[in-house]
Amino acid sequence: MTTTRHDSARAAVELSTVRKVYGAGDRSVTALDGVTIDFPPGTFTAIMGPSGSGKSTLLQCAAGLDRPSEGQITLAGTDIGRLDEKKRTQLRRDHIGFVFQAFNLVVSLTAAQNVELPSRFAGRRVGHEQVAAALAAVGLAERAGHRPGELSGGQQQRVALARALVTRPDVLFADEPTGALDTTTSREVLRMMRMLVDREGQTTLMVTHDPLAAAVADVVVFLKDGHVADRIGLSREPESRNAASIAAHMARLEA
Amino acid sequence: MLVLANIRERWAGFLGAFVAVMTGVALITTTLIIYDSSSPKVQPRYDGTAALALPEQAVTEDGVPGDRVPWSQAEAEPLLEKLSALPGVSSAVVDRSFYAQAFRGDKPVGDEDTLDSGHGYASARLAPHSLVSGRAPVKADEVVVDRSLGVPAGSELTVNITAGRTEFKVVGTVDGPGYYFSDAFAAQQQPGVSTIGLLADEGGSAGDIAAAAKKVVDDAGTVVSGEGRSVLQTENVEHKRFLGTQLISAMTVLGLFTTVFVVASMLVLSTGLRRREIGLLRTIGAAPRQVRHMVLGEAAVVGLLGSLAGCLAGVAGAPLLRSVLDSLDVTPPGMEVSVAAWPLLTATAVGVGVSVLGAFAASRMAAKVAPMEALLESGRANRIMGRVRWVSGLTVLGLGGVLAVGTATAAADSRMNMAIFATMTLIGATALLAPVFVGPVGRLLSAPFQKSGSAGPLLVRAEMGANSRRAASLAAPVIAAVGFAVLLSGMVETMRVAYPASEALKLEGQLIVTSDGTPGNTDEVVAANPVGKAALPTRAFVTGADDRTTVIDVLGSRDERWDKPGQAVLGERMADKLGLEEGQQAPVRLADGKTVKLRIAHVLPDDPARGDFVVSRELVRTHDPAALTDDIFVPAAHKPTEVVPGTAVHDALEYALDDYNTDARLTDALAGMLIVIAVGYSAIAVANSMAVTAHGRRRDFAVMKSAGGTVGQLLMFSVGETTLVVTIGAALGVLVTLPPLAGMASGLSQATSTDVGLHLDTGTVAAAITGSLLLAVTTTVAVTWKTMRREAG
Repeated sequence: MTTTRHDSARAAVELSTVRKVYGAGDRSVTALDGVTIDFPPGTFTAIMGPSGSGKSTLLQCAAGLDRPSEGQITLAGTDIGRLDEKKRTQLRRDHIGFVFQAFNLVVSLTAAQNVELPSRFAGRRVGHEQVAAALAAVGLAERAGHRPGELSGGQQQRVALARALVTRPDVLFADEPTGALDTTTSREVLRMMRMLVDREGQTTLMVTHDPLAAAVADVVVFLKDGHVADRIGLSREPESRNAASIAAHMARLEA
Repeated sequence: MLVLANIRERWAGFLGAFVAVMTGVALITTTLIIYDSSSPKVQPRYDGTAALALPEQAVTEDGVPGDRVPWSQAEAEPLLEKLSALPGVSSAVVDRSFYAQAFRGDKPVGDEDTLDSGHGYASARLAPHSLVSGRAPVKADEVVVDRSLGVPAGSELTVNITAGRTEFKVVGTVDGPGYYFSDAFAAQQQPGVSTIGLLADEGGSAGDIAAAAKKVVDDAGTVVSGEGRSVLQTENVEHKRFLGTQLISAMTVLGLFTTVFVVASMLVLSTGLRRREIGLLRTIGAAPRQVRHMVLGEAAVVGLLGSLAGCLAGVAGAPLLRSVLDSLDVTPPGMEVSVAAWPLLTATAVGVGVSVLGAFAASRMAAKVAPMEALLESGRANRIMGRVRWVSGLTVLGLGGVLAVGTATAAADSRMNMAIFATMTLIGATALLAPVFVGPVGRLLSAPFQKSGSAGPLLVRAEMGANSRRAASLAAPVIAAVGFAVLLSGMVETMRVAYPASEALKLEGQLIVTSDGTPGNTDEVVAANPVGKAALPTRAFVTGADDRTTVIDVLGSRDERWDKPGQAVLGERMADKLGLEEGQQAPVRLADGKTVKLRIAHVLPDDPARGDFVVSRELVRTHDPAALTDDIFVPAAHKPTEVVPGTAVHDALEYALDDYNTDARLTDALAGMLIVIAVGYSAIAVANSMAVTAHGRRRDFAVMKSAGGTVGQLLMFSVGETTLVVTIGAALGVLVTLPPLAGMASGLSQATSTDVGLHLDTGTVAAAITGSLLLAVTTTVAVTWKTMRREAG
């Protein structure tokens, strides 16, 4: 196992002593307990941990979907915890891309329309060719006119990736993107995500519980009880070997 | 792009709103078309005039424009002189109208418009109606009649006029309706001048004449020409139009309210089921404002589509409404249904507006969806009541309470509308506050079933508690349907009991002489019944300190308590309105344009049996020779020995029922139509809500099925929940309606001086509740069944 790769360049996302507490008083639950971590630009980070470890909360806070109770989160050079709703909307629109486990697409729109939707919200439509190129990049050029109902689960996830590709977000957040897919399709989607990182330098943060998915990342961050328990860098060796070591790591954590 | 795509994709979700808007717009289109078609036309008898000079209009006690203040002979003469001298004017003709009706034997001929059938011969030139045979009337006992009456020149004819049946000599016939007397005779019958017709020279232009005449008339009145001449209508037509307009405006108001209400609750419901998708839009950069605009845009498009369909349906439905109104005899004679553009455009604009208005709540809710919700498996549980909802719910509730109290004190005419408004407001308030009740009440009602140990009651209770907002939006249309059914049928029922009973009680021991085939009692009838109340109504004008002239109803009485020359007796309310006190001298202008000074002898508590402004009978007869006497109330001891032709004699109960039935026919018809509209609307909403909900929870069903629930159990669960929601909605619907009904009953108690209780029409109410329940359960079963089969397949 190699040592953690540390970029000297400014991080794409930076969390510093972030705490997130849900509820109040006796019934409060601390989901994140003083997490300090940064994600360098152009890297693919997988966040893993047992359920209840705070990995989803970390993603939601980092993406500005939720506000931290304490601490600072810097994305695109701004402390997003302090932004009002309007600014956060703009931030999401201009700097962040999302891929969820499912239901990533507006069902009434075609693949192409889904891809161009964020730019429409921003009031600047992207060109037809750009949309077509993004869909081609994820291998769905001939499916541009199909609606989500006519696409397979994997294809839908790839449309969501194409959408991220077109807006060129600073960070792409993925929450269990392969959670609803079978192994073959999963592999396809993961390959696309890896390609985005390699070819476009797309900073990517992915929450997953699947060691096979995590194996395509550059860095795996393990969370436990709201703390960063470990952070390992992966070399570009065969993914199966990576996966095995990640699984072993997980097993140790949960023990 | 998104708006249209959403509508295309989710048309089923918008179907309810579409149908609601379509129905509302159809209703509005129909009523507007009918209203437009029945709008006043220039009376044919003024066809030949270039312009009409009319006196100034007075205002009624309520401040709305009322009768015109007739010019006296002295005021009219200089005007006539100047008007006839205008360039282009061949002559200026005083047009007088008064009661005249031929008798064939003992039977009056025709009964509509006879109140305005008598004219001076000069009026025949206004149409112009020309002589077909014979000559013009010269002497007081000569008359020229419509040739279609079939009475040839030279024969004798009995014509009933204010004085009673009088023999006239027919000296000629004309080619138009009416009875034309000598102008001197007409001036005796109707001394006040309320219309001057201007006839043009050959080549004289109506516009020029009207403009010149305006300068002459100046402050003394107005001049109308062209279509403007339609302001003059006969009383009969005016009355029918008034009734018809009231009927259709009540329908329109209710239609508008229910459309907004139904569209609002449907869109809130369907938006609630779209939270995840909206969350997704928010994560990929949609600002709350954009989400709000999306929802409003969808509503606008659905509203537009619904409006287009509604316009078509409305045009198709216009003849139907016309025949309904015809059967109620509230359409002006000879009305033709004509479809102009403005009713369609207005209805479409209203439809889109109403739809967008209804979407307001939904759009607010959508804009508040957090981006996080895209990540959540099931929609985040809503807070039961937001602050805005609390505040607006309580505000509307307070307003409804005020209106319900207002119902008790409202004047008789506006009581029904007031009660409807109060109910609408209270229904709105209840819908807003419903989430507060639904949870606890649902738990309470389902408690007895809890012990049975089956899963159904457990699920239902949990569902109502956890999602009381959704349960509330399901209950909302039921509240509206049952509420309106209770209110409208209860109103009719309460009045049915209240009116005849109190009337009959008041009239006990009296016989009533009413006109029969004639518009009122003539002096002949009054003379034949010398004992008992025989009020002679007229209109008089009082100019207040603010220089406004108010038209008031004055009764000439032969009751010796009031029948004193130079005196007037006022009700307290009237005295207050006019600013008059006991002992004051008040100048009152009468129908002949003359002003008399009256001493206010007494100001007494209001009493409908006496009247609000009572003077001596002789005074009214002198100044308004055309006035006809109201029903005569004769003590049973003075039973009339003979019945004057054109009248009928009733006993108290017969009279009260007869009197009530005339009103009741209209009220019943109105209430019936309104109940159909309200319940029909809510039915759409109930069906839609149930369908949307059942569809939206198909995933829950899948989970329950995998947890071992049989299809039967799940159906039972759905039916149980629906029944509970409908029960709560119906209970709330009955509850909200009680205050306005109680207010109405108390108002009626005061007005009729009898104890009027609350009466509910249990049949109609039960029908509305069972109807809603059946419909809701059927829809639930159908949609649940379909959903589960699809899931299984």
